[in-house]
Amino acid sequence: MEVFLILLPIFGGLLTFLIPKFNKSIGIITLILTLSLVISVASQLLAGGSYYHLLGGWGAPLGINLYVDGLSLVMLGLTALIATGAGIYAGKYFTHKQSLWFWPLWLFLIAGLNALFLSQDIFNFYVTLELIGLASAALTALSDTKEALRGAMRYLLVTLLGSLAYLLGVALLYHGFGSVDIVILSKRIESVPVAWAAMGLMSAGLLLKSALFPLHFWLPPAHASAPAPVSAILSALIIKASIYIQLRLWISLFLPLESFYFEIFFALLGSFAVVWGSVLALVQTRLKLLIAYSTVAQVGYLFIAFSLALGGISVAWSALVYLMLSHALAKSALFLVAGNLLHFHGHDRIVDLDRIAQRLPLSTTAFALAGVSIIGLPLSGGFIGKWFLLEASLKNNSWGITLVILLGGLLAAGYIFKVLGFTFTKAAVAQETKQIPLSMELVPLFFAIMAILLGFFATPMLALIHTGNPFGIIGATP
Amino acid sequence: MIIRIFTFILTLLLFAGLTYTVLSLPKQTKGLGETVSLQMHNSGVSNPVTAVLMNFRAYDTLLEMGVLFIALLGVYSLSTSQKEKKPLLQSSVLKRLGGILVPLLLLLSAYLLWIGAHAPGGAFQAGSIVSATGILIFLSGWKLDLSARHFFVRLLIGTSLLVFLLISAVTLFLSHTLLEFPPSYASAFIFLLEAAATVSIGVTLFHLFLSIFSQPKEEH
Repeated sequence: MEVFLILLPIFGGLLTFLIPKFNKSIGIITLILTLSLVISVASQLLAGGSYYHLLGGWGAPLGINLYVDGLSLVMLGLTALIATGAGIYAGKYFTHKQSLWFWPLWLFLIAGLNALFLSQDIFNFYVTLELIGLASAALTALSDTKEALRGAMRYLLVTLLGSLAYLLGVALLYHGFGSVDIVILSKRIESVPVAWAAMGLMSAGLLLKSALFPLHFWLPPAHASAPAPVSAILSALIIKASIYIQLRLWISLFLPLESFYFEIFFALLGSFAVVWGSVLALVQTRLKLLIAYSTVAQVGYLFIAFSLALGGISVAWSALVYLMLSHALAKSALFLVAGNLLHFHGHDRIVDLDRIAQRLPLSTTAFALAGVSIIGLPLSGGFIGKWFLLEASLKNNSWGITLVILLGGLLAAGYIFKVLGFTFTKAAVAQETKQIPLSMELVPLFFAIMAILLGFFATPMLALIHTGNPFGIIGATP
Repeated sequence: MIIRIFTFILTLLLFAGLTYTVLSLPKQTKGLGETVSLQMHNSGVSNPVTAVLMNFRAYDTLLEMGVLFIALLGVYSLSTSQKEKKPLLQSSVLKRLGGILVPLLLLLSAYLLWIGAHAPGGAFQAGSIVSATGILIFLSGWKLDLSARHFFVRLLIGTSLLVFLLISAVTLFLSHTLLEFPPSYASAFIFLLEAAATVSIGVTLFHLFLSIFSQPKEEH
């Protein structure tokens, strides 16, 4: 079934291009079918454990292998959920002319993401990175403003640079060890210069794409100027896609190269990202930029968790995946609400928000609930992620990291409540407002509720994530 | 200035590191050459490059056709309708020469497509020739309305992906494995994929060239 997760969006995308008249209905039907396909893949995984699909029947090293385990499954599920929700939102959001290009680009982007989460081959990862990179740059430029074009152009150059660095690493690994399949490579790799160079190049390329401090400079302009549904998927999934490759590579491939210095390196950059991103989010005057800087901070948490996990603290893996999932849901809710406010007021200046809480109660609720998960208040998905992260940092006796996590939560509370405060007040100047379709309010609310619910279903979710032992934890259950 | 010096030093270090790595590489590595040649008789073609691109790693090629398609869509989304095109070069020699060259070029592209099964050639080379033919037609001022407004033109752009999907469906039906060609039909499947890819690559590259002449989107 898993190959249909790639073929179906490609087919749907082609149809929306060939028959633009029905693009919206074709698009939404394709997305809903993709969502139901994920459920059937999940049942296959739960019934028989992790499994391979040997494309072309060749098997690695000659052919390409697809692989499904708990980690790929939750990422596929997240992709389908956010793509469908944001797709329904986009159906109301875009003008007729924009939607001509939106739908095929969107569906190919989903096909690329699904292909990425299923892949087990470092060259195939490169192809999927190109697919999602080009599609997301084009989608960013759809919003038709000067800032969006500039942001998209910068994003395009950055993502191409990242891909090329990654590709050079792939070439070195192939030359050195004679395969591009992760499993085969992980058996052959040794600590020789070519492996180190490949690790450096691939990691640098992927860190650039994941916008880890100080390589985050391209993120705020691109994420803040893109159309709302595109911002949502950029922050929720595109960033996570390169982090996912990084995880897969480090878990098996680069393990022989692992040393204490990498843990320090990732922990330091992650901590800087949390503090720097949160402080900058706090001082922003425009809502979308605030949310974009919050993403910079959240990427920091992910790499703190990554550093602890590399150090052998297995609970940090659960923290990492939980933070990824809850951040994706909460952040897409925030971006969609920001899109609503931008549509409602015609601007997104935080101080000029005018009695939003009374006039758009659903959007305000969505913002507040998503904010709860971003801050990491109890019972939300973000809380579970941060709880595991704190546990991991205490186990490792890393008091500095514990402090950064707590400080990050405090700063997040600062910027979320700053926005919420202005939703109740009356603005100084009277403003014209536009009506917002109900579905555009319900989708972010749904995402925000999902982000909270993640906290209630931690036990079954963790069992699902660890199906097939994706993190290679020795003799352990979560 | 400081940033420039910093960048310079960083680039220099990168260069030194990469040079050291390349020099430390073993001269001969096993690679996959042997594995490929062992399976060549099952691949349906005798050119190893085509065998890898269209059979062993056909899935990569499917995604790459997607990349090409997305690149064209990205360009479309940034431009509006094309300006009324005037022939760029007014020359009776060019017009005359075009009349001879166009059929020749199409023949050459068909030859490259065919020869790809056993010698260097194949869809990408043949597709580039098709697009060059299109450019020649356009520059000599022949009226040829190939804008994506027409369903037929969009179909040509999507041909390769559609044929890939069709063959994917057939192979999934036959063996539950994506793009697994039965050895006796492999050469037919590969030829079909390559022919479709030639058309799509040709039209896509030609359209990317045409987009230079379309008006940029106005900024608000």
